[in-house]
Amino acid sequence: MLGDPVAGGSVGVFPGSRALSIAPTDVDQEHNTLRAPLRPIASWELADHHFAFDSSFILPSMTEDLAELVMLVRANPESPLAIFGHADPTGDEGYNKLLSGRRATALFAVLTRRVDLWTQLFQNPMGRDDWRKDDLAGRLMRGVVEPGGTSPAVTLFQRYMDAIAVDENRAAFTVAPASFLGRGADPKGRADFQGCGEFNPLRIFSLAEAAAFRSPANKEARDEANAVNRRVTVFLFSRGTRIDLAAWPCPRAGEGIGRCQKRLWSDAGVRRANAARRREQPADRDTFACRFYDRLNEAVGHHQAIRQLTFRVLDEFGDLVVDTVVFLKVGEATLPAKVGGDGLATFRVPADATEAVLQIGRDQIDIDIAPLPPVTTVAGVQQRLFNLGFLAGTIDGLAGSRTREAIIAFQEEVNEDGVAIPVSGDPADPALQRELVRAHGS
Amino acid sequence: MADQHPIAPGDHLSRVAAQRGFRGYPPLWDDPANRALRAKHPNPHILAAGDVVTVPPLEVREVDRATEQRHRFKVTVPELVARLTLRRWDGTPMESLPVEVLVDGRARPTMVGKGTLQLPIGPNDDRITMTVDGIEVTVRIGHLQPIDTAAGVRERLNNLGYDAGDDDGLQTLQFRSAVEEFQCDRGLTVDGKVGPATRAALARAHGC
Repeated sequence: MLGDPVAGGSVGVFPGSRALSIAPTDVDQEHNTLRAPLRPIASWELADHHFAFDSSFILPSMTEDLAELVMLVRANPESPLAIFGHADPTGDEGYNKLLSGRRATALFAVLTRRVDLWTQLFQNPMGRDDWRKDDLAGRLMRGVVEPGGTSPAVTLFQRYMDAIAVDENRAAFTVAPASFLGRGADPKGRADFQGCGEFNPLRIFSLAEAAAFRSPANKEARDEANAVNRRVTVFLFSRGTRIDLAAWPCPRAGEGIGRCQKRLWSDAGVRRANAARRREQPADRDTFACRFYDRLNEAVGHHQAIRQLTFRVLDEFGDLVVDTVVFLKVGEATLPAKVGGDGLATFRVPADATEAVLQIGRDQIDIDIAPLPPVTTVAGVQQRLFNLGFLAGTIDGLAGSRTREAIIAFQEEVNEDGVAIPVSGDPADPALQRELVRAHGS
Repeated sequence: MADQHPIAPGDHLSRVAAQRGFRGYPPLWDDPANRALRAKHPNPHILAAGDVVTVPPLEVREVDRATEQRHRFKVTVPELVARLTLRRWDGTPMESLPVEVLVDGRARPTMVGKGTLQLPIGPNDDRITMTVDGIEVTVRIGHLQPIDTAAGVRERLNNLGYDAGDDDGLQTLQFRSAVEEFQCDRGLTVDGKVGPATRAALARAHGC
């Protein structure tokens, strides 16, 4: 299931392309340049609590949230990925850039099984990011890197990655380096994974909070309040997106903030400063200092008003379909959702989406995304009967014989299921309306 | 009698000329009454909604020919094209050019250079649709506004992939973000404001 934007993963889709305006010409040199925008279609986040404290070491708890990335990648196999690590704004910005880069590196490594990258992170601690401090990491890694421990130890290392990066069947999940935006072409991961440092926090404290948090006694509370800012985000880009590495604006994970500074908003100073009140995405859209990242984030609709769509999936006999994956195509993206034991599948789509296609196995169902009319209206009764498969044809709001027959069929089925209600055929019947809402779920 | 023609969205001078029965736009454009318009918006195919074009009376040419015979008259119609330079996000020419290009729903022969598409069009053609790299692109012919208007800046930024938005509000964050990103890419002062240098660079980058 797709979680909320902070704690787990979240998904948005690009709103779709607009009509462009050009000028015709009768002159040789004149032309209209049309450049393809960089289009992220979905994103996923790995939250702070999946890393060891102050560390870039990934904990086994990642597995649960990874399920959503697994589904996204499988549903959009031609969409390249790029990883962006984020630190909180405490401390030195250069240090934070490297720290967030290390977390991005760690995620890239586990997805691509680059054992060598983890070994490097382990062997080169940076400040508080020292994997040896963590019991689990220490135990694992000592086996990997200590003398005489090459091949069996690398196996151990690989086994940990294989254990935490798995799909819903507990089978190892990997992503080929070629499936990343930089296609794995740069050994140091340019465009594949990078750290944004402290430049893009989701939450910026108020002046009063910032002052209070400066007291050493409040360090723990500050770190806790900053947890939402420490995250690693994965973007999936439009199918077939290919870029020239030289044109990519972000510095590598292991590089300083020089190239970042060029991409900061002209008012980055104001954006980064604490203000009279606390600011938080998505309500406040001025917390990111990097304009390039801000644009990716806005394009994916990550912080647009997102609407939740929940479907209950029934088979032709009216029985719940459970434990399967269904897909919703919205614009260019294919969003997956797992149908739980309750038969419910939930998707998060941009609020401005008006149509989608729900795919269940081989069946495709066109969905108009619009508010459901109240059940007390004929259209509301018709729409619910339509969704439940009792009514074919258009929702016209007129109580004709077609609607009457569908109501009777529904009422008879409710009676067969042991709930005695009158078989009236009347859309205004309160018992009908109550049972319709119950069956439909809304 | 000269006539005043207010420019509506999508009007360019070749279209106005055709609607008024002219073979091409020069008789309108060269009319002394349009001198101020020429100075303000020097490209006859990029006019702003609200501009007013003076349409001179049609010149009637009289030719004497015998009746009961077939005569051939040759007229030259100026060639009008839609020329599109297609680039990937990183600025390199698009390798996969659109396979099917439709003008107002009809397939049209195209001339293709390296990443450039040239389509012969008629003055009343309105819309090009094509699929580029799996993405359907719709292009409205003649809707591009002059660079000195807010819409003209926004439309060029959108064509160049900067996603500047769809309304003319120059104060929106989305618009400012697009301007700053363009300025950054072109090595201009990044201030989010559309001054003469940014305008000139934008017209140059777009190609008109």
